[in-house]
Amino acid sequence: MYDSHLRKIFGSQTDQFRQSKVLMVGAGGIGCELLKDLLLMNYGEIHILDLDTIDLSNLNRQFLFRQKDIKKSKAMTAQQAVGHFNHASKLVAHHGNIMDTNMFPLSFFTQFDIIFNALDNLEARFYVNKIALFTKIPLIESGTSGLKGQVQPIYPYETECFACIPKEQPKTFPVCTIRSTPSKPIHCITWAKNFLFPQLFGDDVSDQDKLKPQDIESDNKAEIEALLKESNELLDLKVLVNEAAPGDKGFVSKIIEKIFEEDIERLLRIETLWKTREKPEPLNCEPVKIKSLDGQKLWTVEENLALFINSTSKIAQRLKQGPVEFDKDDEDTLDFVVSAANLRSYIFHIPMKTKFEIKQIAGNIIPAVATTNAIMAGFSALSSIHAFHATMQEKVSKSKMVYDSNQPSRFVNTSGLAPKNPKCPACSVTRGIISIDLSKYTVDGLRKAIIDKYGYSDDIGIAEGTRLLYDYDFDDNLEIKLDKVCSYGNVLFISDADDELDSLELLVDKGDKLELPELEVSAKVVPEEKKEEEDEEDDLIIEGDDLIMEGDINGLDGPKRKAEDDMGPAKKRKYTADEVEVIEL
Amino acid sequence: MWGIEAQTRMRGSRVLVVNLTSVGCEIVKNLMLGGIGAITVIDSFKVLDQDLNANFFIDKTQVGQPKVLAAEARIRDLNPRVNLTVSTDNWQEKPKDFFLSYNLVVATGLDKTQLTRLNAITRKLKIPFYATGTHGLYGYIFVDLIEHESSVKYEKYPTPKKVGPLSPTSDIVSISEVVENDVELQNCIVKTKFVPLSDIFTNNEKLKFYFPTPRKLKKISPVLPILLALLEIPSQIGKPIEDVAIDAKELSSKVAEVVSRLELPEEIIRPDLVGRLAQQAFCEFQPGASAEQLCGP
Repeated sequence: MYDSHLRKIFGSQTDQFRQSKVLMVGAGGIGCELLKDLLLMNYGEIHILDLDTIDLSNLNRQFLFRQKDIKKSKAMTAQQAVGHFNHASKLVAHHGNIMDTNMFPLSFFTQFDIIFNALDNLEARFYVNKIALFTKIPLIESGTSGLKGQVQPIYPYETECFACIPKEQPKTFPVCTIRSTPSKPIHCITWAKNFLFPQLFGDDVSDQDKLKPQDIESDNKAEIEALLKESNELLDLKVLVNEAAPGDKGFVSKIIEKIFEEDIERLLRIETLWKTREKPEPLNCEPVKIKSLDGQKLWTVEENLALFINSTSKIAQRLKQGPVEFDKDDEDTLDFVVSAANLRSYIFHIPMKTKFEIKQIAGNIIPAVATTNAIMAGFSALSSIHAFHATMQEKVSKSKMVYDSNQPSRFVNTSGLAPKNPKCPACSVTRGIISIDLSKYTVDGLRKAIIDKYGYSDDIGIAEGTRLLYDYDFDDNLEIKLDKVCSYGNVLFISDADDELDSLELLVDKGDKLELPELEVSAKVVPEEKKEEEDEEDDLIIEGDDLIMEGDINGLDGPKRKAEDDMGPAKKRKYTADEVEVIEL
Repeated sequence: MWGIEAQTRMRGSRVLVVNLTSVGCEIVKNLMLGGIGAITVIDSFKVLDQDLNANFFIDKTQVGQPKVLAAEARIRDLNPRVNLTVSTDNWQEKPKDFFLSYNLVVATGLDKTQLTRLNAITRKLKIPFYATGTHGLYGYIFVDLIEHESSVKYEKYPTPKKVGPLSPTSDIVSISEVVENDVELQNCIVKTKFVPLSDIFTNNEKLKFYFPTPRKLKKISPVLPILLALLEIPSQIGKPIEDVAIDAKELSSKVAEVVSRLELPEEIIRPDLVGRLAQQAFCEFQPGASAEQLCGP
């Protein structure tokens, strides 16, 4: 029998796998591995969902994809690639965005017994977490980053959910650090890629994009003025770039004079900036002749300068054919960023970097390792076994969170699942699903039904996201049919006008009439005074979207608790039978 | 990720994988994806029905064929740049020279006699050796890198490290000081001496170092003596799993022997667990195997 091994290990539980329907969100690095594991567990029906297509850079770890599959749908390709070792599962592939409520309404999710997340971004993770909370479907969350990784089984409302522990947000830098006082290579790389490149080669800068005084979080008036002047002069340089004749490199020397000499001199005149910092030195050197440079080696400032000239004039010529955007795999644009960043580093006495290193940083390349993905996917699949225990108490107590260990003597650590965080913005909220025909009811009809059902003493407010539908000061919508103001898949936020009862979140699902969920709405707990923790230096953003330096995007560095890593390996640790352990002698 | 130098070393490495079990498949897959220079997979078994749920390189039309030949094309397809060879020979009949050309040997599913024998060869030829295996939801990894230098960072305070012995198996050979994020660190080059695998069955010196007190000894997983005891049973891989019958009583007495030989506390013997492992012995389970694999040198 093809499933003899499984039958011997799991006995009749084997059939429970066969009778279950699971959803796997993400068919990338972890997803490919996880799909293999779920298939070989003979899950009855596996839905594979991914919005992405296959890229060349995926092939070194996403073992279900080949060269010939590039540009094809990940979900569809994965489904076909596992055909030869699929002996029992029905596979359904979905090429789409998990957050698309038209494609994946609530009824799509409720068909599943378990959801596996194999995602690469926080937004989708939070979304699926919320769906799991509304539907109470067990969610097994996983993530990796380089050699690190973790798996977190989530039993909604019973254990910590994905939002219970705040996640680290991508790192951003203050504008003034980038523009006037860089101190690290990353500051110069960010300047070259996110500031200089779009300024010189981007679409025409509209008034909106112009630097405004309030954008520069600095109290130094002289610094603000200097930066504003610099910006305006850059616009003049852009004209030079646009008008450059083929083969003309003369305009580049004007650019160099301005950004590596004049702008630095202007900064130097603001003496307050340099009281505690080493003064930059305007560039003063001549380019050398370069042929081919080794991307693994550090280049001299003269070589960088020569490359800056070459790449700038090449990009200027290419602009005549159409727009050029920074792409780590586009040699000209990468050369430009590498040389500009290094020249600026040199000026500010910051160590220069190799092209190879800058490509990693500027290209925002998070190292992904096939083995880590495979290991964490394995633990994710193993975690799902516990979802089949008879009682919730057993499911929760037998499940473990698994994460990489930073101790050399252990490969992974585990810890029991923590209870939910009572202050969690996601799972401490009372929520339910309303089944309703939006075309039949008015805002007022819904309002009255909610007040009656849950015993709000006077009036309520209804909002969808940040959009207010009704409160006692805003009754314009009262007689309007709901389908004009919201749609299926929306979440309605209900608040008590008297602030006596807790708020509610209601997910709108399609139904024939109006059915409100059975919920206990408890009295509002007065929140403790909020801490003021927002005012940290790092808050100001310069193109923060792709500035993530280490860790987190791919992985879940955020929720990583102070784990047993810190407490000594086996505090209160029980060896339960079904646990995978790594013993090292 | 690990730098160009390490990647270049990997590209120049030749790895021998003994037995294409479920965990063997995982290892081969990851080595292929990682871009190792050359891999040889040696396995003398034939594809059984039960392999279909444990080996993702084969399909059901291949039942009855030699396993490595059935898997070869799909393995190669993972990364055509890796120099792949497969062999249906029995590794135990290979002359010592056969092993000479490899930089790393990884074996799965061997028993104590086989492990000892293969390890003797790798020791003699100074080849790093990994051995691993699974029994259903349980598994183990043994490592013999013979002598291995690694660089480890320790916080300097409160107790700075000194050049000299670090543990019964390792010495600090040199120390350099670095400051990272304002923390003073010592970057230590640590030389570790591995013991031959045969030692772990008899010698409890190392255990005593890592678990010096009775309280600490209790932290040793109760699975450990059972896994060691299972190694005493001749390897059953390649047999129909329905025909593999490990008597729980017999396993129990082997576990008791291991426990007394290693001077482990009696309470470590958990009859329920022994029963479960007797039932799952030699079973292959892919997610478990995935979680269990290891990465090259």
